[in-house]
Amino acid sequence: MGYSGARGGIDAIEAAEKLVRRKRLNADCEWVSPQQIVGRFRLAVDRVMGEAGIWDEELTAIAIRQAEGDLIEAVHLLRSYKSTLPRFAYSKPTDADELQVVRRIVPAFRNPPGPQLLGRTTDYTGRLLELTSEQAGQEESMLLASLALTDDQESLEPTTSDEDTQPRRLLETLREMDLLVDRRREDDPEPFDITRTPARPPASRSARLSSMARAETGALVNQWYRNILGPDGYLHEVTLGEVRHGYLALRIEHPLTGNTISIGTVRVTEVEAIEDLNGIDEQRDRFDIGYGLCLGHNEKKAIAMANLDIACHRDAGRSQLEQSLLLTTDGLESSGFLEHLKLPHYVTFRSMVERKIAVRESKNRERSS
Amino acid sequence: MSAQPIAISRDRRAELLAAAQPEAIQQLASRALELSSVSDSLVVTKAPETGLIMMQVREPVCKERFYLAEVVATRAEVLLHDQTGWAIRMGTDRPTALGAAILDAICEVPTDEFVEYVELHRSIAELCAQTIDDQAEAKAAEWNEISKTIVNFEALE
Amino acid sequence: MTDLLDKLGAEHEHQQFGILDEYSKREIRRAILTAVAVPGYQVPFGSREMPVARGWGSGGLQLTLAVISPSDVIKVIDQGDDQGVNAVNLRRLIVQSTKVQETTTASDASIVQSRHRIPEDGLDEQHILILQVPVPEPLRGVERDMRELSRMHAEADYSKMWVSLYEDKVRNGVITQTTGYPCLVNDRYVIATTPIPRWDIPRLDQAPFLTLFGAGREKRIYAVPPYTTVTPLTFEDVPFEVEHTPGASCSQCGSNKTFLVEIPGPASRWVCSDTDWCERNSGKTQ
Repeated sequence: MGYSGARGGIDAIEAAEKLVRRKRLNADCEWVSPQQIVGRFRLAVDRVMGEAGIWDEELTAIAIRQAEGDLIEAVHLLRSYKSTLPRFAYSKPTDADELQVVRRIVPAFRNPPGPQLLGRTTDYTGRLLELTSEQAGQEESMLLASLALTDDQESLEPTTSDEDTQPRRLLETLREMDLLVDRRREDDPEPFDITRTPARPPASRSARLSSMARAETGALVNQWYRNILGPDGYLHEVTLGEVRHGYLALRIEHPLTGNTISIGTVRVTEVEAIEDLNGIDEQRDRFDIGYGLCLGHNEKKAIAMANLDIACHRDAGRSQLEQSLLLTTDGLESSGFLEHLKLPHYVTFRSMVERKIAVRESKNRERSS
Repeated sequence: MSAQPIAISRDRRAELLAAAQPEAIQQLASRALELSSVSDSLVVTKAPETGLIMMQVREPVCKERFYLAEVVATRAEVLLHDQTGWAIRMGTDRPTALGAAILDAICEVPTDEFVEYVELHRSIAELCAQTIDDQAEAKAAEWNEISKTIVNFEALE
Repeated sequence: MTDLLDKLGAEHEHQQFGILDEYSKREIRRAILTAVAVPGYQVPFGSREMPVARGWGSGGLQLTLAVISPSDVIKVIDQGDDQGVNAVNLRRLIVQSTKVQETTTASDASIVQSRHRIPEDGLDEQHILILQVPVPEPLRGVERDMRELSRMHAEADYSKMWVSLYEDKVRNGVITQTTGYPCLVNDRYVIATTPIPRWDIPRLDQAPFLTLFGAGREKRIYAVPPYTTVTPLTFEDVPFEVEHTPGASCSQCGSNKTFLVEIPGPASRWVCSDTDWCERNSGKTQ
């Protein structure tokens, strides 16, 4: 009998499980600690945290290790872990203006208010595979470590200013130049919680932002590119106002004092995308802004998100872009459903075979009559 | 290298105990537990529990709030001589969350009744001050590296 | 030092019954109640991520974990088979996290979770049948836009579905819909009958047991309560046809009154897809 009809399915499953575990734990190389994964594969960790919709670097590193580097699988491990945890609270809203940047660029102006702070980027570095020997690499690593120690001896002058770490966003400048459509709301609607209620079109913007913030990076990039070069074309290219990476404070209510306290920070990537409104009914003398914000350092995702945010707003339900964003960009859902095709389907297939024969017999009857 | 103790509000203390080094918290809490007036009367009212906080952000375009993602945190609550101690920390470190809650409770116990807590209060205040220093130092060190990557336009002209 | 704090904390820990936290279970139960109150209506729910992938029974698993209690007895099948790899995996998760009793005999179970089949016998008023649903929307083949789909359900406007069935019949001589055959529930809502084979459809109609449908990925729950009318969509002069292969009978128990699946090969043969039914009836028939 086939793999599903076989007695002793449990033995095979357990043996497969053991095999994976044994090969994973007893790989013929050195052990990898979660700290190493956070320290050396930070962008993978950030990406997984964003797609899982959960901030915890150490748990994420453990998940990536357990998933043997399959990032979607790591997302799955974290999301299902999340299902076992209680929800303590909704945080107090953090204003994105408070972002403490460690990287900030403004492509729309050469010399914007605030710094063009490149930060930790490889954007302008030639992508050359470094084929230094392992020994040379480790020696350099040790040398850098000792240099860092001497650096510490130097007095660290407080060279930072708020203007540098919390620069005004370009959006404010554009508003002052009276170049922006003003979409600021006064009614402060309650955000939509996609983890509690499934978001379906037509949905609120907060539902779209949440969905994109935890979408799979590749799915969002593809949605974007499909609209640039593919058959959909609901968006056109934007000019980036802000690309930022930095810290946002997490605040909650102290249960005993009732006051708001900050219990730490998360790192996020934030993007403002300036849209040249070129529709017939649109304000041709103004710009509008799309917004992207996701956990960790993940610029591709935040840029795609910002561009799709404004595209979806402009589309205003005319196309099915919103449905695509809300329903097809979750990595767990798409890859889970794809992989379910590996499950036994012999009951449905038998039914299909029976209909094929029924159609054939019907045609034969037609021909013979 | 202990920092000068500082007087701080309960709210600020919670923030700093959420950020302080785990080893330092555990060490102080363990020291406190060596006192019989702590260990005998301490009641763990809420054992350390790991859960999620849904992070809410207000975005700048429409000034709308939305939920960004959930943050893993661990919280604990204790009762010591009728005083509630509470703590929450990001992450899954249960002993440290419990330790922080114990330290929070100790700070609430009046020292005129429990003179032996004077020393503990001082150490906790030191820990808080140390945490403030650590945070400032970490930020300065990060900026020291990053600020070199600011594009200097004058130089280009 | 750490030991002391660990110990203090650990004394107060408790074990979570059935993976999901209690708030999530309550929420799913509320959705189930709505589903039972409005038969066939797809109730949205905040589907949680489970330790099985989306599309692998995460919806069915959430339903089971939301309704299960320590005194329940669970049967889990996939394609009718208790030993199917996915059935084994799901049963293991359920039993490990709840410590409930398991069985392969439908009549001994109180909850039956299944993918693609309804057990051939044994289900009665005391049973809950939980079906895993990959695609809950019966109209997706005729309409893609979700806003339009919700209008169609709200107004019971199933005209596009009827047209598509008519075209199918005209073009192909038969209605070619295979499994998951669209059915009208309680004369109101059209549902996707998971993909259970057509064979199982008549057994849903006026069934004494409660059937819950869980679509985890699409975040929908719907129900066919006990003694509810379930009518397959077909025309007056086109009788609804269940799977049938003339002359086929189970090579193990001899049955020709059960849903059979083919084992292909030079000497192709048939077996019951409900392996437990087959085992119990081997040697009885014929």
